[in-house]
Amino acid sequence: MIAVERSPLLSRHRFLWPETLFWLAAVAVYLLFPQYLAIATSVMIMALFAVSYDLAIGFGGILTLGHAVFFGIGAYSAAWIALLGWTEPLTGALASGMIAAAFAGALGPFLLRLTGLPLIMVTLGVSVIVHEAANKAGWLTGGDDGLTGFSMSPLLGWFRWSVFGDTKYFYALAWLLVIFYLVRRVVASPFGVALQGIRENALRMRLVGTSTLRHLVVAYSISAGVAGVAGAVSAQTNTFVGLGVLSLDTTIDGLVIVVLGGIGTLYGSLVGAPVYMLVKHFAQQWNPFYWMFVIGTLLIVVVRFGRGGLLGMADVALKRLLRR
Amino acid sequence: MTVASFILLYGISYGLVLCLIAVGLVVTMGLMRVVNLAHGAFAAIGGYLSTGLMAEAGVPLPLAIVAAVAAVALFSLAIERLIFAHLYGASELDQVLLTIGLNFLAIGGLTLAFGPNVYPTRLPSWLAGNVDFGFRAFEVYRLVVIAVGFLVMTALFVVFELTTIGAQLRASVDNRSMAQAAGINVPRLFSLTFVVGSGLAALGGAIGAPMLPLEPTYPFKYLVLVLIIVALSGFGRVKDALGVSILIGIVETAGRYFLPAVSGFLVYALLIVLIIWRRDGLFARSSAS
Amino acid sequence: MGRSPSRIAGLLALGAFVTLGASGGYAQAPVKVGVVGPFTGPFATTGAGFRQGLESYVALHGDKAGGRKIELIYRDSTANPTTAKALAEELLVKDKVSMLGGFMLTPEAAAAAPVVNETKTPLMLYNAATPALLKMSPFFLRMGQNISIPAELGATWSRQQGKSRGYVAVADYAPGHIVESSFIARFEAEGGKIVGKDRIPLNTVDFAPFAERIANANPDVLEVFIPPGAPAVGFIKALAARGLTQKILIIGQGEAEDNDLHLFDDSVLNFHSIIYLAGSLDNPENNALKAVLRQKFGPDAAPSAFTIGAFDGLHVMYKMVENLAGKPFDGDAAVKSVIGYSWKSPRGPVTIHPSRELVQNFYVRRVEKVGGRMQNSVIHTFPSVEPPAIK
Repeated sequence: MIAVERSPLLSRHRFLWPETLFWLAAVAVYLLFPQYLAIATSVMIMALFAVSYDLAIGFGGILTLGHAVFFGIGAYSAAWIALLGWTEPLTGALASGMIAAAFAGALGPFLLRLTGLPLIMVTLGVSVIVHEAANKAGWLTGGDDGLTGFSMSPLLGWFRWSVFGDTKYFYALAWLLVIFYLVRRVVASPFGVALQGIRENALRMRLVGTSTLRHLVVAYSISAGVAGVAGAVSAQTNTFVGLGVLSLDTTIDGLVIVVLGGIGTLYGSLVGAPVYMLVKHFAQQWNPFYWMFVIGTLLIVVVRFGRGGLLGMADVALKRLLRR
Repeated sequence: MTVASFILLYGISYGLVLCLIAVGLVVTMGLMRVVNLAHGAFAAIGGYLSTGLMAEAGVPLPLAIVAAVAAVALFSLAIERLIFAHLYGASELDQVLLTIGLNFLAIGGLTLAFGPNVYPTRLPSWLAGNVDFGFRAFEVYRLVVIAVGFLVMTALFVVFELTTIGAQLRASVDNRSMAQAAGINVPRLFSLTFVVGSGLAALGGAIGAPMLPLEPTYPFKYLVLVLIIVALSGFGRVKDALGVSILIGIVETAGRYFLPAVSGFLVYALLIVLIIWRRDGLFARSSAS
Repeated sequence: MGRSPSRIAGLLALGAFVTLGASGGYAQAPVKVGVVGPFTGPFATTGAGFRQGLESYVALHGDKAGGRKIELIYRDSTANPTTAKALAEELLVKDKVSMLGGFMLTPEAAAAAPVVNETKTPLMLYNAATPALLKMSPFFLRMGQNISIPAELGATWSRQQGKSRGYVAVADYAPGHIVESSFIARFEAEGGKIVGKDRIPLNTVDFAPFAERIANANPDVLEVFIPPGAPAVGFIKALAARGLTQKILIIGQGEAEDNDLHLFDDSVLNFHSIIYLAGSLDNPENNALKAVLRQKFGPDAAPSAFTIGAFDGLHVMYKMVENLAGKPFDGDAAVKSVIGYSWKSPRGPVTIHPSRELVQNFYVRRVEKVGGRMQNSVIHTFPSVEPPAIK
């Protein structure tokens, strides 16, 4: 069982004006820091991945350590779709997401009968196997060298992709915006409420007559689909896919962002992504050992003291302020 | 005949090292129900300390190992009191994240202290070299590992099955609240178990250093294998841990020998099949929990 | 997308650059070079080698070429291709570099290819060895080796030593596969017989089963390709434990470079390797480089493949700037101007081949103990080996 805080700030279905802050900040970044668009784009992509992860862990209670698999499936699918000649980015990303969702739908009924440590282990095992298999299937994945040699046609027929990164940034941002609100709708729907019921007490839900496995599989598939779109956007904006998309590092990045922002809040992933990615970028450039210490301490602090992640802490602070 | 003997000898020695590292986690996870992903760090630190003492201070091998194990045991006691005591009631996700964080700290510390590259281990002359059995030669080192491994595991069985403390431990694993009601000092047992488990991991890391090279990413590298052993052993089952470890050692060795192309994922495939088939552990019997 | 204030400013700046260039004032501006390498993480020694090579070159030859100052900007890719690509973009857009260098792993260079193609930026590959890389961009110049060459030379050399039963053991990733196919093709073409081949998974820790397989096939020569560091150490130890290092000829490439020899024990003695450099070469350039390295980085500093790749890479960059003196920097012209250029490098005489990689010597070396220390001693030289044409 995963502890998720309940409070107005973290209320998951109502649209609150502070939410616009993130989107405004995203546009501000474009205006103020145009030379950093490459890293800003990767922040958007990781935020989308984290949103998908939160859906699985925070809402579905599905403890998976293998979510990078769907990110990778989306990335490689998008690359192949482009390599085979279909270079329209939007439909390519959508198709890649659906391919990832299909995999989850096929795997789900077997996987999701497990919970707790066995589930963690199996998802970890699947992740490692897929990574190894991708390495060996060089004809499919380019192996260690990765897939290159494809390019995307202009977005909406007009916006060309260039090294300056404007198109890439807004493309990633647009996907994040649209999917974020779609996922919010899902979570606020009767399906979403049932899902949270399953997360809190699966036995009781079954007694009430809900088919828990079916709900979990659907949630898992949606989550995988979103992760697949994130992977596709990564492939399309980098015009490159390497084995790194399937690695445990990617999964851990996503997991830390979700927890840092506040698990089960969705919005927390948006907050957590820039914080984590920027700290990582600058800590790594700064000093070799410091990054390990930074992330290690970060994790320990967040778990020990940061109930509900950054959003949770903000909520506590807000409550204290409002009480005055 | 030579192939079979090779696979048995190498597989068993590899499996025993993994067992020493993993058995501590099997017991602590069984007893304290804490997912400790940082367990491998104790093995790494044990390996680094004993190798470092030999290389830098010229301490002879047996003494270096004992010193390293003792140091790690003490260190783990501090960690248990300061950090793990707070984890006992926490959710699994919290435990996973916090122990991953500990792992990162360990990796950072090892890199700082010993550098980012592999830390070379040199066997003393009385361990290096082969002994000829006629039909083939075997490494002395591997034979010693098997001997020490079986000795330690036997001692562990004896304690576990035949002593009072062992009985108390088994009782606490099976049903903590009843054990406490019966007057067993469970928190003290937790600490003791944690310390012994970490010490065993350090022993595994120290003895296994020539087989499992020491580098800062050691805690993550062998994490998956160790977790596989724990998952397949079932919580708190020391006998099963030995069986599973040896099985894995042999499967890995045989896999690399006969099917090198797929040996990379053989163990994981085995893991998935076994977990889905036998969720409570490979040799599980039902137990009140 | 061309209406934002920052884009307009950028275009104005570009316009200013062009007009300045036409007036000749441009010729005094420094030339910026971006260096992308792994300065942290498991491959940090590579990044350290890059830096040592570059700083040594500047110490020996100054920081000016063709009257212009050359400014080096270092960025850490942690050997991640996506990061490498993002850094290349940042260097080009934000820092306005004219040339790039580094890109240790093939996927890093592959990821950067579209970027340099769009901006027409010459990129020096300091060590990446995959043959297919040069096809990905006409702006790539390779300062290392084409990995198929030492594998083929290994086959030729072992046949020259009278070996006829070959076994190939490579790490299971792209460069390993190329070594495997190149060695087997040459060995069989020259009359040898292959008795076995293995692709060893990258996550292998215990190499004993592979040593066992090799021993049971009874070869007289073993061609290896294993990543340096822990895997190479583990593999050679396993071979020694099985008695193979004393019985058969073992040929590799970069598994036991001078800088790494302290990681091994005596089991590595007699290990052969074929590669384009050797620390023990006695020519004026190598001696000067070694002296500078010891003076700047301590008595144990020695040239590695990464040091020399960076060193020569910077030399070629200086030459490009000289060739274009007085004119604004143009990537196309720069690359074309150095085709056929020959010079004396610490590794011996080299020439840039039309395929944009080097014609250079390849040395067969053997690990020996000299004066109590282990080193790679040169026992044979294949002079001026031509790289294969780009197909």
